[in-house]
Amino acid sequence: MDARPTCAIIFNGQSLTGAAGAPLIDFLTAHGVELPHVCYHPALGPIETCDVCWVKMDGRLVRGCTLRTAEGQIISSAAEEAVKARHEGMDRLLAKHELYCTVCEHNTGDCTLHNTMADMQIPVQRYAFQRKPYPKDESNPFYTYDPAQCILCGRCVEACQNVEVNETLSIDFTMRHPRVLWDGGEKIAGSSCVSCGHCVTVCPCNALLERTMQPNAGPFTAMPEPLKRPLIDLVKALENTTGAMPVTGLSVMDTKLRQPEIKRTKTVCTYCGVGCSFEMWTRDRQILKVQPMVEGPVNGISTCIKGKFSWDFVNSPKRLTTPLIRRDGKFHEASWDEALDLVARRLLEIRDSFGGRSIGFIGSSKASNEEAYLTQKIARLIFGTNSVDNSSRYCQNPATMGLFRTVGHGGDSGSVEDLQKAELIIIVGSNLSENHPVIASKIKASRKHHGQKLIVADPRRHEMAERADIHLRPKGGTDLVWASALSRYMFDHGYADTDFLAKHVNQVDEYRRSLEPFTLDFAEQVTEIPRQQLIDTAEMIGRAKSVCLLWAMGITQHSHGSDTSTALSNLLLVTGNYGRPGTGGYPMRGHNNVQGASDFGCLKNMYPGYEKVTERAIRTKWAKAWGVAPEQLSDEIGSDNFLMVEHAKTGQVKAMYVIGEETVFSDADTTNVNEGFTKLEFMVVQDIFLSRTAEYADVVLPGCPSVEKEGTFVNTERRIQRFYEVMPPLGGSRPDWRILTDLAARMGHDWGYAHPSEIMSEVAGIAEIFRGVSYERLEGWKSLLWPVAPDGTDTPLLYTDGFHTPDGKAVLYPLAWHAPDEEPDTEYDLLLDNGRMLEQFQSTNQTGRTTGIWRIAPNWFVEISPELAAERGISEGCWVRLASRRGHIEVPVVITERVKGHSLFIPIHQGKPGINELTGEHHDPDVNTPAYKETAVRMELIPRPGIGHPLPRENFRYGHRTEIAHVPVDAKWTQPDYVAPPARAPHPERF
Amino acid sequence: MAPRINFDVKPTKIGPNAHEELERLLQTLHQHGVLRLANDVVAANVPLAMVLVKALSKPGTVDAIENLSILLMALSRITPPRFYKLVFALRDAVDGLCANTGEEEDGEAPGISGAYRMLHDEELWHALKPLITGLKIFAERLGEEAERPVSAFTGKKVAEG
Repeated sequence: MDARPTCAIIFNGQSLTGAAGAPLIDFLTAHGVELPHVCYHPALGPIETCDVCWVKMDGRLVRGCTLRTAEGQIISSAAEEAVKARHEGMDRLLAKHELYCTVCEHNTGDCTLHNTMADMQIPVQRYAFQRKPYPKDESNPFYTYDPAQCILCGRCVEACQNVEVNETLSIDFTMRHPRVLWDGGEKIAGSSCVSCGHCVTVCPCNALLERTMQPNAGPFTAMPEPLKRPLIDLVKALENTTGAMPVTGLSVMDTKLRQPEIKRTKTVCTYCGVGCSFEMWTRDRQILKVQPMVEGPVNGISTCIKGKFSWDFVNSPKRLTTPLIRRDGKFHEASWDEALDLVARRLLEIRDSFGGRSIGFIGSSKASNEEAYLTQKIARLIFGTNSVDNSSRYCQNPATMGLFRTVGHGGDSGSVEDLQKAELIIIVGSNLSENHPVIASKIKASRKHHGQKLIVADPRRHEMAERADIHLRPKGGTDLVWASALSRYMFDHGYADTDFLAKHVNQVDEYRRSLEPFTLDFAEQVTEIPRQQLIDTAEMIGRAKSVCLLWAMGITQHSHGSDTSTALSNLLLVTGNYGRPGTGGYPMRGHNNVQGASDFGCLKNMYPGYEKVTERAIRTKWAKAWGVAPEQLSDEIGSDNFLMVEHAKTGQVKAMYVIGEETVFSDADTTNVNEGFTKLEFMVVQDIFLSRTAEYADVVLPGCPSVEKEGTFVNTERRIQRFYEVMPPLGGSRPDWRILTDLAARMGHDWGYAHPSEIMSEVAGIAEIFRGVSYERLEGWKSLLWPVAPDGTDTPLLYTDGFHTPDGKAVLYPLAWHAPDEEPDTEYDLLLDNGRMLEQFQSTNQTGRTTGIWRIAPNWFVEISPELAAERGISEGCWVRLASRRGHIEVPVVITERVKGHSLFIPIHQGKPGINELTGEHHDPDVNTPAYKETAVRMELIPRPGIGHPLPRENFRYGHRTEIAHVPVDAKWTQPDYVAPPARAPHPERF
Repeated sequence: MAPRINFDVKPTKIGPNAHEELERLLQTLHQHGVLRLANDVVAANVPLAMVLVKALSKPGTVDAIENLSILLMALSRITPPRFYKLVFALRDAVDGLCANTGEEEDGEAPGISGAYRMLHDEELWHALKPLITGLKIFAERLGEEAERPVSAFTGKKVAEG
């Protein structure tokens, strides 16, 4: 039952009852009452710039957006003075914005300005439109800004400053002709704008507009300017006689005209583990825009550059639409029957000849939960092997192992809401603002407006490090030491939560004894973090009432990533930071469904729901559900990605089935992978493009991206969300779940799934943590965080009633320090760090199809520190050869303080064959995750002309943010020529 | 010598046939967005009609339509030669009015002797007589009881509801 307080207000003589303390506009909207407004947006709050929402309360005029409901309020919007004031406000807006709605791309039904103007039935514009003396800014590849159309409402500024918190946009109301500014200047390119699209999403008119909407979003919008302009002028001339109403009538009809051809479909982003959901607006196959909504449970109105703008891959001419079969050294197009028959026959032959273990399956961390489930079901049920894995092997398994050892569930402890509530956030080895931008924004907002503290531990000085209260720059691969030293400090200085430890944690004494070597002196010596900084960090953590700790591949992709992940979880346990709001451990999952691919069983040792293949009772349960004898399911832990490749080389693995993974590019030591795949007898790749991995395949099956099918994903919070079919599959491509279903049928297992919901229903009937999951409970914007009880109750915050261990107690897991397997030496004297860029995703198979991305970040490069550049006499743009013990690559140099000393950083996305030409086979022995981040290299200058700035100067990394608290509406009000409505404005075009 | 053979020349096609013309028209309509618009209009016919009806139902719009109708009704009862005379007489009168700015010579009032002279101006009297006749009929018509325009126009009364 909803326990929130309610109240009754009188609005225009009508009694309305609802939530107390609610914004008046939202309250009225919920009652079906519209109070005209333009600058107010539920995600932004009152900005108070548009002067269109005036009401009368207590005998005076008030901006309605500023009111929150309270018992007994008597409010009137019908009072003559309020009506006059609202009309004056709208007239002033129209002095700044030329109405040509019928030929405007934005008149698609959600143009706030048009709709409000139409609702208000403005008979005639009091003030003539006056064009601002600025040209339209077309310098960004994804959106445009037209100052002449800008009404100066400040929504974009508020979104940039306080939702995205990139702090690029501002408005200077003291200018003669105020406008929106980027980094205080008049051009988007070269500013700190990260093209996240927040400003475009909230713009109430067409001042900020997606390029994908231009020019043909409406039936009349694509006409050439020499025709459009005279037509607008003609209508404006007629309007002098007819008034605005007939023209508004036309534009309202135009809005209606557009509705049948525009489809709005909820989908979930596929670019990282945040799990942003949004509406995708399409006209046939044309993606008009991505429109995030307030209802999005994770992101609200937020997106990043990729989620908002990088969907050109969907209609890429390079999309696979026909199955391909290798014959006579070439790929030949084939029918689905031919291809699937061949796959079924060859895989069964290999199984019958060499056993199921000779076949390896790599499920996709980009595909749906249902598809992950089918992948492992085929492997386990039809082939009797547990050799099924996903790309979490390359990134997330160490983090999951750390959580398994200490608290029990292999997922984030809480939700993004907990991250916002925490008093202190610690980010370790995660470039959050580039890799999980929307979660970074939530944290930046909490920090900016609620004083949340931030500690960052990272060798690289990225944006979150710049914003941190404390930035620890440990030597690469030494994080276990400082984390353990801080745990010891907590015990030694009374910050350990002894009550919590006594009640909820096992092995406390044993663990404390294991901390003996981890003194501050030892930590300083190993990590190179100054002792005082370690003390300051410990004190901040010890004093904080609630701490969330986030980590990512800066921790996991090491030779002892599982141990370091364990050490971080240990630190949280010692300080009692589990099981309460605003606490917990949060491994940041990288791919959109890397969590779900593991949750739904693409793991060598777990059925869906993390149920162990080695436990007889569990195996019996799954066998019964699948209608086979328990003996038909293997009790032997299978091979993971790493071992499959190794075994392909040695001939133990004869065939592989890879779904939507670019293993050749993403696995460490490319040469080794190439060798393994070349030796396979039979290989199937299911993908949307002919990837580098597919080039090795005997059969290539064209799958579908998420927008062409239905399904569910699990994000980093453990949140399960539905996505819907935005458009039908391209050409002959098929949804992956359908391909797998058809293939299974050809191998004697006709499961007959007609819709992914039937697959989910099957999982929910077997896996304990998904008992209450159903498509009905996930409809629309609804979501569930596992574990989900049979009645549909989900678990946003874990461990509130004990830990996920046999006795319900957490475990403090003793650890010892081991040096990284590979470190710089005299021959390979530099440490090469690597990671993602904001603009790209993985191997660029998807983002690389968006030309605008290449405009912002056209080149591969290596970042080196100014001191190293000076030491080696290297200047920006020079070419260098980076050589490791495995191979070498050639890249130009970017000189930046983001890296320090002899540490280098290189993006993982570009190049042929890419970064993994350099990385090695050394790995975390607990989970077989390659130690990508432990790559020692030497650097040689190549005598070749440089390329200037490998990152063009228009890239956001060169920008200078202009932080402001909110839209400076006070500055507007204090201008001498501003008068409050309903008085007439002497210069309506200015304000 | 080779025997004579005939050859039936197949006429070369000149210009498109009807199907090709139609195909081209379809393509042109598609390229210029006309088909898209037609689709939109048909698909959105209900909401479009609702907007139209809403706009047409406003009292001012209804009055405007009725008044336009009355004008059309009146126009339908005037023969073109008479209407021609009327319209062009009006045009010349407007020209005359505009030419007389009131600031030219002789702007003073005529006085009693001047008015007396005007009463004996035969030419002026002949010019004014049709206007006075028209004015009389106009006043009589204004004095008639107002009823439904269509009843007055057709002579057929409509039952009161």
